[in-house]
Amino acid sequence: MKRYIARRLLWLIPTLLLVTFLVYVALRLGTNPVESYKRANARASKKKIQQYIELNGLYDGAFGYVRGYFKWLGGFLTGDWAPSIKGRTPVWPNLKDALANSLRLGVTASIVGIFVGNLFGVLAALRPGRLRDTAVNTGALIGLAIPPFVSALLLQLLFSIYWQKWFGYSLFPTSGVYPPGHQGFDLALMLKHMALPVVVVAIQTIASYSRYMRSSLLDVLNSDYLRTARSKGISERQVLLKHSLRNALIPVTTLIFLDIGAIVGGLIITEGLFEYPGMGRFFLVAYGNGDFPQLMPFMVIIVGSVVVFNLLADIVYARLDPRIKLV
Amino acid sequence: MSEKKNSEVAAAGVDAVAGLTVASVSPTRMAYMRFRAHKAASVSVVILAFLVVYVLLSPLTTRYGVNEQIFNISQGKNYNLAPRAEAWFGTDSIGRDLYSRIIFGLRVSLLLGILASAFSLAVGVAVGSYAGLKGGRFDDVVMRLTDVFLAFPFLVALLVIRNVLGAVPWITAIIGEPSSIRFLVVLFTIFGWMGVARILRAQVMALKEREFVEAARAAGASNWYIIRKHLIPNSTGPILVALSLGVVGVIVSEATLSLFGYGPSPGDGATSLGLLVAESKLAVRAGYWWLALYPFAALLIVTLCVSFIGDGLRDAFDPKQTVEQ
Amino acid sequence: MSPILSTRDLRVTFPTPAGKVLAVRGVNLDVERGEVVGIVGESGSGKSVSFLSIMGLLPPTALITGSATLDGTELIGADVKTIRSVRGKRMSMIFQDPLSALNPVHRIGDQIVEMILAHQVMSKQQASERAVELLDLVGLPQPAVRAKQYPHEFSGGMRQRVMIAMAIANEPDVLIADEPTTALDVTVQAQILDVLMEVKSRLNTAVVFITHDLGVIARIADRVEVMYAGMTVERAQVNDMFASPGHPYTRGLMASLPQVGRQRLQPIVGSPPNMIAPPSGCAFRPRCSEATDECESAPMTLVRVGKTETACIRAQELGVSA
Repeated sequence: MKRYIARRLLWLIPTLLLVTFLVYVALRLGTNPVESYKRANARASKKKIQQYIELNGLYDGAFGYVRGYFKWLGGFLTGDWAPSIKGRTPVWPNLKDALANSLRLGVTASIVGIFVGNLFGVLAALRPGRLRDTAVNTGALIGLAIPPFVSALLLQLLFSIYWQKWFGYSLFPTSGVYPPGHQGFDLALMLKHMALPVVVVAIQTIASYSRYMRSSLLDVLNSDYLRTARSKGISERQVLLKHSLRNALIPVTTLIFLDIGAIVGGLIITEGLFEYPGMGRFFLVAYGNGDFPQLMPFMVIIVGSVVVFNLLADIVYARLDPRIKLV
Repeated sequence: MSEKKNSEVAAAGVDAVAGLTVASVSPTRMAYMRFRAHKAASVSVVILAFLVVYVLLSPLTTRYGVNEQIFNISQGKNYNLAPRAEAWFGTDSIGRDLYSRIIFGLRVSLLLGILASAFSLAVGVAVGSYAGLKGGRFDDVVMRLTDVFLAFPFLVALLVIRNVLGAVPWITAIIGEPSSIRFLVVLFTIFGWMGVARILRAQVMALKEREFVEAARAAGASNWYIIRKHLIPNSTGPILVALSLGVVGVIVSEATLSLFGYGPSPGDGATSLGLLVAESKLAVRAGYWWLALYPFAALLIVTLCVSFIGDGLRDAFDPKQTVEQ
Repeated sequence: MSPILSTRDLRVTFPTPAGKVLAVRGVNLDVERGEVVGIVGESGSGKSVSFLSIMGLLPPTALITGSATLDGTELIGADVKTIRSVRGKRMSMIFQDPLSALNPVHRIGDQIVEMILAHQVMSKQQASERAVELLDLVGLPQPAVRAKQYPHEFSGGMRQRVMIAMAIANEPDVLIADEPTTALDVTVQAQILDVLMEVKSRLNTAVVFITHDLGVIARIADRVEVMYAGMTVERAQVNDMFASPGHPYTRGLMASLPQVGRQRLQPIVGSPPNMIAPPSGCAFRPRCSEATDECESAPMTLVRVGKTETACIRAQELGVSA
């Protein structure tokens, strides 16, 4: 096990190098950093543009891409990051805040969604074919069929705009983490701003986990070893906890880890519509501007989190299921 | 498939020994019966079929042109009107009839969804079944590639690839500018085929151990023959499910792209559901509920119907997961 | 002495969309203490379902009527507490596929310990030691090491030994073996039968052996019950049945058995009846070469003919030798 983890960790390095290089090429091709810089700084002198090219290593030609990548990598690793093309603001402080905001939103929604979703899934699987099961199944199907922007806009329409019209105040704000101009930390205010985005994300999470848990548990409930467990004369509670849930949670737990890995870049629609200053909005703004110096570190965080949580999912899976041999 | 043989044997048995009742029902017919038993799916088929016909008859079913203002400005305010007799679903910010625009929009979205899913299906089936059957290096590479892509946040990957495709002159020469329908079909195919390929691969891996495939192989059948004659017919269920969900995926993705301003601009004579949804974003803030509600309703009818149909197909072809009462 | 396990008019019905499946249609059966009863029949004859219903292991949709008593305790319709006190303690079961019957994520030893602690008061430590003893008893080499391993690390035969060890952990009165050797190689089959018989003689447990393999029956059973279409069609001492089978179906089963010197196997024509609407009278009638008109209204009750009891009304005239 330890050797496996060590080996996988060692493999992380070339994997990350390769993927970030591909991302580098894709971004340079796609955003055309020099043109974007000229667009953002219309009156920039030739010298300024040359400086920008040097700073970011935006060399031409196939070899220029390789040289440029390593130049970028060196800067990235030593913490010497190029500033944003807009107003030369440093990237890290903004990225850090965006990351914190996204994690807060994503983790809250995931905790609620995973807990409720799995609970629904278990309740459905324990009474297959009955009303409870049909309700959970149909509800999940509908939840998954509602695109997040629809639920987001409908919630805004209802709880903010029309609430204001009917009752004279808005129940939940539609945008941001705090009202404009607010200073300092205020938990109640923050939760109020998070409420609608969390609901939007949680609807999807609940729907997908309730379906997944239901089918995973049904598989276990129909298995021969569950019949063996029952034939031992142990209590139904023990059958449920030690055999059914224990086994059904294996694939679900793997999925949880994979999902957590995708949180940091996966809330773009919700963040975009609620003007929530997280990673998704950070990306949308940087993408719109073709802001290469902001996009690269963003992508590194996304890639890193996906790769690391994939590894964690593998390890946890092997931990929970003795049939998986890690070599 | 082996069921067929069994039923032939059973039929012979009935002839030989009178009094034996062995009902012989073909697998396709059983699947059809199970699908019919799924009420929501059956209703969805009817609704969706009606919607598609309604949209296809758009010159007859629309009331105004896609960019036509419903009456002259001089006759009074014609923009942001709530639903009324002249405009059943109200009018938008420059006085166009929302009802007619939704029908035109649906037409483009459905077309986009069906085209992209069909291409995804073709590529996915070919790559997935070949990888599953062949195994080895090809399989490894394909699976790794799809692993990485599917693990990535979808919208980030979609937007980055969109930029890359749009920046290469010889690619845009073939598939059009990023805002064209053709470009979007290609973009969604690039993302769509992977899911299909993985389903097909899993299916093929399971099927290839089965006797009828081994028998075909022993008889000297080529890979493509086996794929065509055995594997694809036996994977109809998962393929149909993937196809139905693919159409919804594309329609929703188009709307999402439009929402952030990266969707299609279908030209003067058309719009898309995504563009209507994008317009509703501003309307919501201003409190013009109809501009949000009707496009959403149209979108939800499509996504819900297709989801239920997908669920029904899953029941029909994979009855293990459903427990009948 | 009264039988340890007996059933009277046991019936099991499964409601399905196509209609009610009459899986078991009135089984009367007695198992004496320490005896080995073979239950023979094709798949779908209701042999497994009968015993799963007694153990309360059928899905809740199954409709069970009639009576099944274990040493006087009624099991059909009994409360959860009674059922639980019987399962695994007084009556335990071994299943066909030992790989899927063992929970893949728990250690072998722990799965046996769970069985012991469900019914006996002892420390976990003691239970673990007992589990190792049991594994040793069923002939598992290195039992202490093996107890810490997982099911997938065992071969098929070894897994079935584990199942036996688990089943006898609480020294039950009745051991139900549901085709325990079907999934195994022939050589391994023989070993498992030996283990089973050794355990049986040591604990004086009654064994109900469900199988479609007459060879196995000949080897281990004292008495045979032949089941067809959810009913018992023949009952006899094992030697008597082989010497002079009383029911055409039994004869058919024996004719389809490979034997040295026989040129061809004779299969039974046709397939088992549709259990939603089984044939009237004798259920075997449509497949029986000896069937006459009177078989259409024949009651399928066991009648003694010579040394066997058979449900065939023509047994006498077909010349079952006494």
